[in-house]
Amino acid sequence: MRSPKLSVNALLLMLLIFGGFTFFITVFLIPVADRSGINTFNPIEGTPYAIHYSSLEPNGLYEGTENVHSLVIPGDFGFDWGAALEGERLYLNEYTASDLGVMHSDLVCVDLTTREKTALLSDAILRGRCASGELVCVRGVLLPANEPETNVLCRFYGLAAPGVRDGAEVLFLDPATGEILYSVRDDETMGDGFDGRYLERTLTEVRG
Amino acid sequence: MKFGVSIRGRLTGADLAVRIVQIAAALPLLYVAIVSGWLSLATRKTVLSYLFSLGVCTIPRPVALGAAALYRHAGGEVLFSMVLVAAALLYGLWMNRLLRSNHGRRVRVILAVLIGLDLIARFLPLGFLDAFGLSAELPAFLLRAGCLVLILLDLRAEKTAENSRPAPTNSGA
Repeated sequence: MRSPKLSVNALLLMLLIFGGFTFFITVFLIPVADRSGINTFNPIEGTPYAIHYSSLEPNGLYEGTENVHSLVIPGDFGFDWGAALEGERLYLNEYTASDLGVMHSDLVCVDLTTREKTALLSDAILRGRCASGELVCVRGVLLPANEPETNVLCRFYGLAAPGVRDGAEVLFLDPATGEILYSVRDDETMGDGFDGRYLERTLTEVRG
Repeated sequence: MKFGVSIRGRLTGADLAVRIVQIAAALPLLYVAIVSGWLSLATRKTVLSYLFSLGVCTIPRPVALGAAALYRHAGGEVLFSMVLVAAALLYGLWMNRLLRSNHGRRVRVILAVLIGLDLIARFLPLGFLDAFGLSAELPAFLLRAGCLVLILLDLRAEKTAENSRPAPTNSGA
């Protein structure tokens, strides 16, 4: 009697089928990383705009109040780290989540006149403005919520992300143009002392 | 459907190298599939995350970089892990055919050269070629180096066997 052969190729084919079936359930049918249950309205300080997360309406940037508002531009924007308005240019963090919920942040600029979004920096987090008004942004970092020190997917992501590999960099941007005025390497960008070192000082002091 | 390299058959160094790469390419899918049902595992250091790291470090570095680029730009664990396994499956089927063809020896030499280059590349002081903190770089390197040694031993044994074979005599003349 001829015994059936179990080859590595057959194992891989079975794994592909098993994986496809698993992902169909856990990612597409019942998305385990889905955050659509959240329903919040977060006004951006000093502006008539707000970041809205809702299970009833599309997530995005809205204009107006919690009761009366209109969608300006859809997307998963951040409000917790920083947002800045300069004339008709609104600088925001835009979050993108992977299938397993690993979040990445990019710095985008929304032109409120044309309602167009432009990506400025990838793997970057806008932290606010410094004392002299320039935008302070950290490039080459992954969101602390991902726990990048222990999350192997973050390490894998870093293989193809030159900014993340090179280490964190604090950038000072001209809010009128979005140009980088000054940059400094800093490995402690997510620590408590960040505000004191950068946000509470002027660009000249930081350069000093 | 006829599958390639049989586990029961005789394993040459080249067969082993191909299978190790195939199994390594399957480890990320295994990790992603399990973590997709148990998300809290993603942020912890576990045996599974080590296996993921071992898989990524064991596959040829350009392939790992390509998979990471796919992950970064397509933004999905599902896509890159499935593509990696599909590519490993095609690689296995293709290599099985090539290794058993008339050009088998030449294919083994090319495979040895490619593994050697992959190993040397890991020592080059180029930031984009390092494993970026993936914890299984050393075991993966040893595994690949072991495969290279086995292929070289096979090639040497083959050469010795060819040399010791008696020359054909012209007895019919």
